Order: sequence, then C-alpha cells, then structure tokens
Amino acid sequence: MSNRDNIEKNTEHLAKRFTHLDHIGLIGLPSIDKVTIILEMTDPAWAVHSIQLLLLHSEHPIRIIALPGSLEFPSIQQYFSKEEPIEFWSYEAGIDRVNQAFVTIETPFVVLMEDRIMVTPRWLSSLIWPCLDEERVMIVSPMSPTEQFDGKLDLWFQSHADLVRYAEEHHPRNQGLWRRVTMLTGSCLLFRRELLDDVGGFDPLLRSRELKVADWCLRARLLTAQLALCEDVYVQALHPLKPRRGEKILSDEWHLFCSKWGIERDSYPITSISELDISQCSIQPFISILHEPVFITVLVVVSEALDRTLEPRYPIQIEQTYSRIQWIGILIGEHQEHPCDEQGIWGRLDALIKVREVEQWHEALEAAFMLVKGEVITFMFADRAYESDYVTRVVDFMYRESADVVVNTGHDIPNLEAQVHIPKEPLPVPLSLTAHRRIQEVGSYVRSLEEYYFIPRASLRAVYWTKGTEDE
Amino acid sequence: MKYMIFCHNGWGDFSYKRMLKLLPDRDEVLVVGEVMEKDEQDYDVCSISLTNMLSLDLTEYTTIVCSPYWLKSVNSLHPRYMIALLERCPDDEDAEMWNKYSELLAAQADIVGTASERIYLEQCLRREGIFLLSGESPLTYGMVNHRHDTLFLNDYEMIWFEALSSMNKGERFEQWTSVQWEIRCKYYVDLVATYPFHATISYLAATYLYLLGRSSDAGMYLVNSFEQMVLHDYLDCLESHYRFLSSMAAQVGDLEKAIRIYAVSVYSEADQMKVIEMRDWLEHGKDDLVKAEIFRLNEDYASAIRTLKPLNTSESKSLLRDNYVQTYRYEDVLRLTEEGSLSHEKDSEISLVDSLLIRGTIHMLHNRPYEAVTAILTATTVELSALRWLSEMSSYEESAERMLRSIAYES
Repeated sequence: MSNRDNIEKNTEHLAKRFTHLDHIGLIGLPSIDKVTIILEMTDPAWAVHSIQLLLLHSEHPIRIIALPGSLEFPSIQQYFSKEEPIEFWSYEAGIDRVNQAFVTIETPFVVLMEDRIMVTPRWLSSLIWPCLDEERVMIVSPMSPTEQFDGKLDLWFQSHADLVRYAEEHHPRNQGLWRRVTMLTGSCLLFRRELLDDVGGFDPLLRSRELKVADWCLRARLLTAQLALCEDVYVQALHPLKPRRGEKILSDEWHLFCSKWGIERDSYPITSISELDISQCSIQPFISILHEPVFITVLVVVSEALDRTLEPRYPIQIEQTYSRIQWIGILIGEHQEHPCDEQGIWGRLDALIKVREVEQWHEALEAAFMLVKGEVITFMFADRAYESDYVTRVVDFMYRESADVVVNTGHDIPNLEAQVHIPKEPLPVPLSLTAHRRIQEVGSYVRSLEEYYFIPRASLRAVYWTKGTEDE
Repeated sequence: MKYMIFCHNGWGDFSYKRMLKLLPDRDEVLVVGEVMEKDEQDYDVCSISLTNMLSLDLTEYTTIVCSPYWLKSVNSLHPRYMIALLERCPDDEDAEMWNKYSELLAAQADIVGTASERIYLEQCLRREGIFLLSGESPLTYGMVNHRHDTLFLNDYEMIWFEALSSMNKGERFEQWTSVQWEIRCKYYVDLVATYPFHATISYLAATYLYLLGRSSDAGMYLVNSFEQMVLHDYLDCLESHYRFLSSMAAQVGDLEKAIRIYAVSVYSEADQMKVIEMRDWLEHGKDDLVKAEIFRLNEDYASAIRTLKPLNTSESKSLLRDNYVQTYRYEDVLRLTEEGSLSHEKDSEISLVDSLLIRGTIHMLHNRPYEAVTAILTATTVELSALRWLSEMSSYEESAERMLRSIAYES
C-alpha cells in the first residue's frame, strides 16, 4: 500500500468517525462561544415565527437583538418568555439601527438576518465551519431564495415539516461543502466580529438593504477577506406580496453606489456587482459604526398679518419625543407680549429672533438660519397643531427616504407604506408643513396673505408624507 | 369561524382540499356528504349528512359553494358569508345552464375564487371580489399554523387568505385583487420578454395591465398580440383584439379615439347605429355614457358599472340596468326598476315580462317555488315564449335534485 493510499484510507476513517460522532450528537458545535443574532424585523407575524425557529434550530447558545423596522412596529415581546435570550430594542428615528447593534457585539461570530428567514436544523454550526476551515473567510451565507447570485435557490415546501425533512436529508449529503464567492446579498449572513474593526458598518448613505450588504461585502473583499457560500445549509425565506420599504433600489442611490465602485450606471440592476474586478477598486474609507442620530433645528414661527392667525392658536407642541432638537423662535410683527407665554415655551428656546414689521419676515428667517446648528431644519407654526412625535416622524422620513425635503400633506392615512409620494416637479408647499436639510440653495421662501410657502429646488429629492399633524 | 363546504360531486372531486387547511380564523369545518376517515384527519374536517346540515343554524357559518346547483338550498339557509368556487362545466352537465347559474352564484357570493384563469379574467371584467386560485410562483409568501405544523403559503394562497381574513373582519378586500393583478401582470410581462411573438402571452400581459388601469402600457402588448393574430390568419381578431384598444382609449379618457376604434371593429347596421349614438352623446357632453358604453361593448361590465353608478340620469340608470342584467345582478336590476317606476322615469323601466322573469328566477333561487311559478305564468300571459323559463327552471331543479340525491346517498 502506497503512502498516498494510506493517507486516503486514514482520511476515510477520520471522516467515518466524524460522521458517527456527529450522528450521535457528540460534535457539531464548532465554537463554544455565544453567537449574536441581529434580527431586522419587518413584519410582526414573520418576526415571531423567525425567532421561534431561531430558538428551536440554533445548536449554539445565542443572543438575539430584535430591531423593529418602523415606528409603527408593534411589540411582540408577549410571545416569548423573559428567560429567552432576546433583547427587543425600540425603534429610533434617524439612525442606522444595524450599525447601532454592531456597537454592542462582544461575541466572535455574528449573524445579520431579516425576519423573513426561516432557519433549518444545524444552520448555525454549518455557517461557522468555513470560518474555522479558512482563516480569511469573514462572511458566510447559506443557500437561500434571498441571495441574488450563486447562492440563490428557490425551493417550494408545503410545510415546515417538509422544509426540515429536506434540510435533514440535504445536510449530510453536502456536509462541509462550501465555496468562495465574489458577492453576497442575502438576508442571512454570518460574519466574524473582527470584521467590524477593519471594515466598519453599513454605509448610512445607502438606503436599500441589498446595496448596503453588497457595499459592505465589497469593502471586506478590498481588505482581502473572503466570502463563503455554504452548500450544506438551506434557509427558507418569506416574500412580501407588496414591495416593502427599502426593497427597491432608487436610481439616485444606484448612481451613488456606481460612482463609489466605478461601475457603469447603465449596468443596473445589481448583477454587474458580482463581476466587479476588486483589484481595480480603490480602498474605501472605514465607516464608523458609532453615529449620533440626526440633530434637528426647529424654527417656531409666530407671524402676524396672516389671515388665518385670527383663528384660535394651538399651544406649540414643544414636548417632542425626539430629543436632539435646537429650538429657535421667530416672532414676526407687533406682539404685545410673547404668545403662549403661560406655557413657558418661549423661555425654553435656544434663541429668539424678533422683527416688528411683517415685511421683514425674510430677514428674520435669514437671521434664524445663521443660528441653525441642526442638519435638518423643521418649521412649526403657532397656528397649526402638531403631534408630539411630529419631529420624530420628520427625522424618520428624512433618513429612511434619503430625502432633502419632506412635506407633511396633512391627511391621516394609516398605511404608512403607501404614504410616500415623490412629485415629478417641485411645487410650492406650506412652510408650516415642511422640513429640509441644511444644504446650499435648498429652495426659496415666499409669502402670501394666508401662508408662507417653500419652493424646493428642482433637483432635490422632495418626499410628501401624510401623518403626524392635524390640519386646522 | 365556522365553515361549511358544499362540493359539486362529493368530497372526492373537490379540488381545493389544501385550501381548507389555510382558512383564516379556522374553528370548525364541515363537509356536506361523505368524507373518508383518513381525509377527515388529514384535512381536519368533519363530514355531515344533508339532513343533519339542514338542522344547523347556518347564519353562524361561512359557506363554500362549489356548484351552482347548491345555490337554491344555500340561499334559503342564510349563511353568514357565501364563498363561491367556480369550476368549468363538468362533462356530464348542460354547459349553458351550468354557466348561467354559475354566474348567478358568483353574483350572489360575497367573494369568488377559481383555479381557472379564463374564468377568473372573465369574472374580473364582470364584478369585484374575484381571486385566482392557481399560479406558478415557487416562492413562499406567508405561513399558517395548522395543528402541530406550520404550512407555507404561495402567492395566490396568501392573497386568498388575506382577502378572506378581511372579509371575516367585515373589512374591504379589493386591495388584494390589485395585488394579484400586479403579480399576474409581472409574470406575463416577464414571459413576453422570453416569448415576444406569442399572441396569447402578450394578450394576457395587456389584459392585466388594463385591469390595473395602465392602458398606456397595455396598448403595446395588445398591438403585438393583434399583429401575431393577423400574421397567423386569425380573422376574428378585429373583434377580440383590435376592439379592446377602444376600451383602453376609454380608460385613459380619449373617447374620440375609443369610438373611432370601435367603429372599425363592427360591421352590422345595429352596431353602426350604436356608433352614431355614442358620437351624439359625445357631442352633447355625455362623456361618461360613452365611456361606460365602450366598456360594456368590450364586455368590461365591471368598469361600466363603476362609471355609471355615481350618475343619476334616466339614461345612465337604463345603461346601468343593462349592465346588471348582463352580469346577473338580478336584485340590483329590480331595485333600479323599482326606483325608476317610483320616480316615473320611463327610460329606466324594464319590460314587464323581463321583470317578471327576473323576479321568478330570484324566487326560485331563494326556494320560493310558488312565487316563482306565479311570476313566470304571469309573464306567459303577456308573452308565451316565457314558458321556456319554466322548462329551464325545472331542468335546474332536476339537476339540483340529482346532485342532492347523490350526496344523500353517499352519506
């Protein structure tokens, strides 16, 4: 028997021993450390089911950080006992919550997952093994319907029992099979924690999850990290009947991505990314996962000589749920005393601009703008009612929709997904319902007898939304 | 929620068995007639004999009716909701009668489902609340807990589940109709990219775009389909394809064009007179009438009804009544007739014979045979040909009896 034959025989023996031990459950955990699972929640029913399966099928000790995807996301804590290792975070407007969750990670392996994913038995150890097989493997994905490239596999199962049966048959036949890939875009990714030290977090300028993940994987590859696709694990994914927020890649966001990575803009959609020659790309700057939420300036305007100021005034809702606010008051006209003074509002302002003549309104605005420190400027008028979460919603829309201008159109439509409407041509909009970024030449301000208006510059991304304030 | 299933030919032929596991708010599911013991366990249903069923209070039940021959029995039991599952006519049934009473079943049901895309599209042009119960997508859109397992739902199952859930809550479910149109539309539009010269695929893409109100996009697909039909010598495509462009023109509000296109597609003198009438309406600013009539002439009764409903002239009511007759909404026909006679609007009155025949059919379908026969006999005193309705009714009764006997025999 040659030496080569001996090696083959020994390998076979070892493989048989491994299979035997694995079969009786003596091995199968490639790491004794906890794994942190960051779960991005989009649908309460999906999230409950997804977490139940994580608890059922994860062979390792896990810690789940559950991140709600919107302000309206209901609590699902009641479906789980307090002993379960789940942290339900609250929604925070104006910040990438995934990056925030990254900050808290202490475990060597992390899974980033959407609630549409339904994991299968042995999913977690299968995803960890490639990292132990090869030191440079940094991000690992299972086969799933959510991958766009190599790992895409659409399988139909009638029931969870069928899915588990498939996974249990599929796994031993392909055990240990994985291959290097150039791109991952799916909804379930395992990665090494140390990657965050080198690459940082998601690019907050990108909006769709798919592009965020693609960008993150490309940055990892630039630092010689390898991406692996596990062929021995399949996870099932749910699909929404209607497109969800952040699902569609917007053209301006795609252009941003293309200019970042030197891709032809016409190569839309995302297929061209996997063919990108990474050696031709320049090193992208580290993106810190430490971000402060948006700082916002609220200009509280009380103006005389508007016809509608004869109507009863609302107390300005200065008690906003959003905390990072600079308050600047603007008083236009002859006021005997500070309006709403009994509320103590005017004393709590960071600054106050006062002009006696109504015609000086523009100068008053200009003066206020010089004091603005926030990234976003919101206008609140004394003769309109605003809810206490008004500013939170402004920030949320501004951030989520990558908007330059957001306008509240004032009609209360409960379906939040359906609210965003981007007009083809910018129109004059009531200033009292407007917020815009602090950018050069954002637009112009005009005044009529009844209303102050804002006309956004044509090229800006203006988003109209319809909740958060009650029209008088 | 309690459900009661009325199959056409017994449980064995019932083709929506899996759907029963996916019923929302599922409490009790009874099947009238015999069910094999294994199936009772597998599908978590209980069989109930015809006699025992009649002793139950059906006002608590949502009925799932799979045969037009059940309509009479189910109507008289006043179920909470009626779900109609429409099937193609079985080989051993009289197609004309089956189709007519299936239309009546659909008109009376709260929600309608069918696995046949042909029936589905025909119904979409007739009424609201229609859902397709078949599809090709291999993707999973939702899940339902059933006993100790979780069942995965594909697109049409999920849409059906959502629509039924909305119905159970007393909410509107039309939004799910558009969701299904979007999905079907995308499917066919993608398929056109693979088979650009396939007349039927292009036609279906155009139809779904039209249903979604996107006629400006639909036209291109329809023209493509029409070209293919002409190339392959299908000579009737002027009526079936070209005329459809008039409906699309009407949808985008170009009524001049709509009439012009329609005029090209007709030959008979009566149809030419209709063109002259519509031109006259247009000249007198009766745009909505033209629009509705173009829709009706394209057999899009649903759009015609939507256009006419808010109008309040005798002409519009008369047209609306015609559309109701075409779509077998007999109760609505009688309501409009009564309103018309109360307000002495001559134009909206329906002929006495038609009115009596419709009234007779309604009585029959609500199991009031005496009133039904009286109405029809009264009609025969005016017009002897109305007698054939009696024979149609007795044929219907006979078919219904035959079905009931087979169910009773089974159980």
